[in-house]
Amino acid sequence: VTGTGPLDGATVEVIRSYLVAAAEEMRTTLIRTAFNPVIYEVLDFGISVYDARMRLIAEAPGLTFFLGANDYSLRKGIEYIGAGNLHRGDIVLLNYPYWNAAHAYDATLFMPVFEPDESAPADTGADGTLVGYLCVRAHWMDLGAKDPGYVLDSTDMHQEGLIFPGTKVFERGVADEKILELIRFNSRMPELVIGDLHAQVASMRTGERRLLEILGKFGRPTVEAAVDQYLQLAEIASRDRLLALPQGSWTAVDWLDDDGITDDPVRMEVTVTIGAGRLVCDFTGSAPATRGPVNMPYGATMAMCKVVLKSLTSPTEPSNGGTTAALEVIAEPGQLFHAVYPAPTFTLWTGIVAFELIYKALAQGMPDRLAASSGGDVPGFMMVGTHPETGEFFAISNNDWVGWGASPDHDGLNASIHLSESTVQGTPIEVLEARSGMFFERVEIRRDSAGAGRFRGGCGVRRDIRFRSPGEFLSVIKKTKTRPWALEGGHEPDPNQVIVFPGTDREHRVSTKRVAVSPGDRVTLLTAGGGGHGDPRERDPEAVRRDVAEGYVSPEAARQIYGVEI
Amino acid sequence: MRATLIRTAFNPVIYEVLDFGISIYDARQRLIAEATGLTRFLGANDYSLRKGIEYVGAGNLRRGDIVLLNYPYWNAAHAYDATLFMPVFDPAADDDRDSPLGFLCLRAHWMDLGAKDPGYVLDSTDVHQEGMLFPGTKIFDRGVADEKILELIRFNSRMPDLVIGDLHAQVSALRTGERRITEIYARFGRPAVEAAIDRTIEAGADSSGKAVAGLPQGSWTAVDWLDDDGISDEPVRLQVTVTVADGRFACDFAGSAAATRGPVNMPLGSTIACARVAFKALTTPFEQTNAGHFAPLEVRAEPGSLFHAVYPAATFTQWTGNIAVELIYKALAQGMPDRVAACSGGDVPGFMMVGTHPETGEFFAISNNDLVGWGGTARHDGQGPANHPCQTAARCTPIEVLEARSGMFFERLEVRTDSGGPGQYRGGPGLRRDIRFRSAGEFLSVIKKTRTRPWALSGGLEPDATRVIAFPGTDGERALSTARVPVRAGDRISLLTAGGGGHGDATRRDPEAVRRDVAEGYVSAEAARACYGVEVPDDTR
Repeated sequence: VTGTGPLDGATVEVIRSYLVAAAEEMRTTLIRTAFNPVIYEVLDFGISVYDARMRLIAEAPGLTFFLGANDYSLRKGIEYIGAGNLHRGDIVLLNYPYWNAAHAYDATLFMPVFEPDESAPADTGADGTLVGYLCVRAHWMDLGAKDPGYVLDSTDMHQEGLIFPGTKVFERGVADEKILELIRFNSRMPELVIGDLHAQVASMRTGERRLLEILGKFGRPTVEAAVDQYLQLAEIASRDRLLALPQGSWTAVDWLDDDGITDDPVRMEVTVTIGAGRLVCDFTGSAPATRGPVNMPYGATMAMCKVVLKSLTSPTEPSNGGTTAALEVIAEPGQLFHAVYPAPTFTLWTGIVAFELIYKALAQGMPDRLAASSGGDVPGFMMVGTHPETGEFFAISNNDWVGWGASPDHDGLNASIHLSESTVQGTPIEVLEARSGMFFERVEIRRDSAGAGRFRGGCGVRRDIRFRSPGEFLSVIKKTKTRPWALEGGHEPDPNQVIVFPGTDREHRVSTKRVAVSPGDRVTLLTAGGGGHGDPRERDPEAVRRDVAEGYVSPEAARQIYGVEI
Repeated sequence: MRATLIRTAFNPVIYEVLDFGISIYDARQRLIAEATGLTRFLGANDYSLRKGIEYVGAGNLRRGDIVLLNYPYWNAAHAYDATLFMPVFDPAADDDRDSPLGFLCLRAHWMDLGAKDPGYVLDSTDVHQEGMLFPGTKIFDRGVADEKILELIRFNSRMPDLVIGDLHAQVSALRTGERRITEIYARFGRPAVEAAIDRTIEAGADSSGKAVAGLPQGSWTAVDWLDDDGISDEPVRLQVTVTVADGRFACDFAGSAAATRGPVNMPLGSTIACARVAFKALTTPFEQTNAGHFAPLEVRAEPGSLFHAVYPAATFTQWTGNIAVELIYKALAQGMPDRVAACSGGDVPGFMMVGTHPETGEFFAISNNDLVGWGGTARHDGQGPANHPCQTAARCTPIEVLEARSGMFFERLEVRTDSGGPGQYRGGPGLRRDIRFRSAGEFLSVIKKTRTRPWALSGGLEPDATRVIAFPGTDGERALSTARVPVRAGDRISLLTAGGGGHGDATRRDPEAVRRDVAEGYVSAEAARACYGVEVPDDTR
């Protein structure tokens, strides 16, 4: 590219690591400066660094769905604004779901990075040379959607919060106070949202400094050459890995509990094809767009497929534009996996369940390589209300743990964040209790919740909540009516259960639901374990005895299912 | 300004219904002129302008700036009644240093800013469900449109072409006003114009002061009820105490309900506007309004009560104000039954349809404020069917427009026999409107007084309350108050709007007038006999 021939591997690796370190530092800045715990505790964000051609060159660990979606958002955002209209110091806000590849509360900020030209110093106002873009997506707490906290039953986009199609919130480094004021007046939690916006800005400015330092240190031609080389290597490696996998085409079906409006289950279907060094995910056969908010923007569907491709081909390496080049995603506009305006998209739990659906298809071709289903979804919950001590409005959430599915060679993980968002953390109980009207009477691993097998699934959890103050409890989960799937004769675990007001006349099970609660009311979450892998009768009796001793399996289950007397 | 707005607006609520308010202010933000429009909008403009300038900062306004304000608690209206205002500068002035000559203000109803539901919001529980909010945002900066803001409106509206079109119509009207104001100042000179304004305002204060002094003095309290707040079925109490004394006319809403969960709360500015409508009509009805006219008026409502909404109280369905205008008359009627009319049909029976147009396939939302009868007075019958007294300058949406732009077909529209309250002077009749739907969609009934009758005066009789009947003659038949109802092709709705209350004993009515009523179909022969004691042979019908 530069006419000096390929760079040596050491230089390429050093530059790549520098860029990843820049992304990591952006992450640290964001975590240290964000105002809302969904960002700084749960780590619900995605940070990506792009070159001038919008190719992903580095990212920081974050929400995998966010990371994969950033590419799409950046491209759409630049298309909207016009590449020529971006100047040094501009920062653009995008959350229009169909371009943002996520729902409206996952606000994407991006900025171009310019290297000042030596001949035209910065104070002339010249932008210099465009060298890349930075992108930080994070979950905001409120943009004035129809309901506080989370939206479970919207029927169009306009009910889902204030929409920004790609709006400069900073122009040449100066905040547009008019836009910030609009955010302030249109949010139920303006301090948190504006605080998080500034944290994202701080993070990008950190990234901008580091990117320019790297360019200064190595020189732009060298950095560009290194980027070209490692993107190319990643693409080749990814295609090689695909070629080494079983080749074929497999179809799988799963169901969402409902769309948030009716009680009808929603069909998801994917046909996955591996061949010719490509991975194709075709969602034909899935439901048309639903009335309720479980529709996926196309970019969000792509992001989900990227996570699968990455885990199949280069699970241990940082992502870049090369890693996912082999991906093709097919979903007709207007169907569940390709939402178009004005389809509601708020409760994108679809992506979580569909993520494992892709594995379910693949498992038909490579059952000895893949795990069974995890608990099958992210059991999210939230409370909104007025804080019993401070009197202030709060909305706080947690994505609960499930068991992971058993693999061909080991048990599933117990009580872990769903595999679609493995870097995310649970909101600590200390935070949940201090900032809301919830008190946690119990959080424990559920015995016998895992699917039995030669290798068993991981166990789910039980969480008992008692409310100290009135408010609304939101259950956000879309897989409680069907069981997680098992593999190779393993057993399916019980599905997730969310039980409101247990032991009272009002006791009932909910899926996705907003429920009014009073002090003293209780909710019990029973999250699903993972599916088993292989016949449980083939499980090592020593392992069964250890499971019983450690409380994962009961003596009855050991006897009945595993045939092991304790 | 008005003619410009009507000629350029995109949505029929503005150009057919005339749902707007246009006001001109001097440099001290005193109202100096206004155009005929929605009275409740006009009265609210002063409040909005003051709050908007407070927010933007008087020193930050430049020539060509146009500010958008719809934050309900400042805007004195719900979020869809968008107020645009602009400063007017002397062409020779330095707008960085000099203060403006005055301000222009134009409020009009926009069709959609992305509220929780399309069309109209009947059951919001906070302001964030009611559409995108602008606290006082410059959409034009020194004459240049802020495209970023216009784009935000475009992306956040379900009907962006209408909204952006109406916004530009408001801008054209403001600019027309700006030209005319500067012409007037150029022609007469600033000192002369300002002296004339001072004189006009003094004259307004003088004549309204005299009118107040000429009214019976005293203090009277009245109570009425809204059907519900849109969330629960509980009626909502409205109370006002009107005191006329010492050259003051005070409306105190103490005793009214606390702020409700649903969207019937009134921002204080909106409450003031209601009181102004009642006050102006009673004191100086034939004079063109200026700031002076309102000098004797005082309005009190505790923050957090129904009539003084504070953030984040829901304020979308401000039908409360329609009823409150007449509640003030109801209080006054105790002290001056000969000067005020009995209650009209009591509310504005609004209806709307939203859906996908059967021919064009496009999303539509179209509405009409239906007609009611007016109350009888001490000297004459109530008129009707007519637009409610709180919005006399508004018009119905023509049937031709409603049918062409929606999936509604009107099978019948007629004056209802016996709907006016009998009296020596009877109330005006209400109307019956039968709607058949040609396509699927949602029908919205917007009315807050169907459970209690309009009040009569001096022994007159009360008419039946307004009724909105969904799916008449089917198993699904039911009466609606404020409701959003899914409809399919072939479904029907009947609106029976209330007539006005009667004034004086019906048996004292001139039998000739009763016979004429029967002949013209306002009163049935049975009612003539039963209520008025007048026998009318069948053959006269």
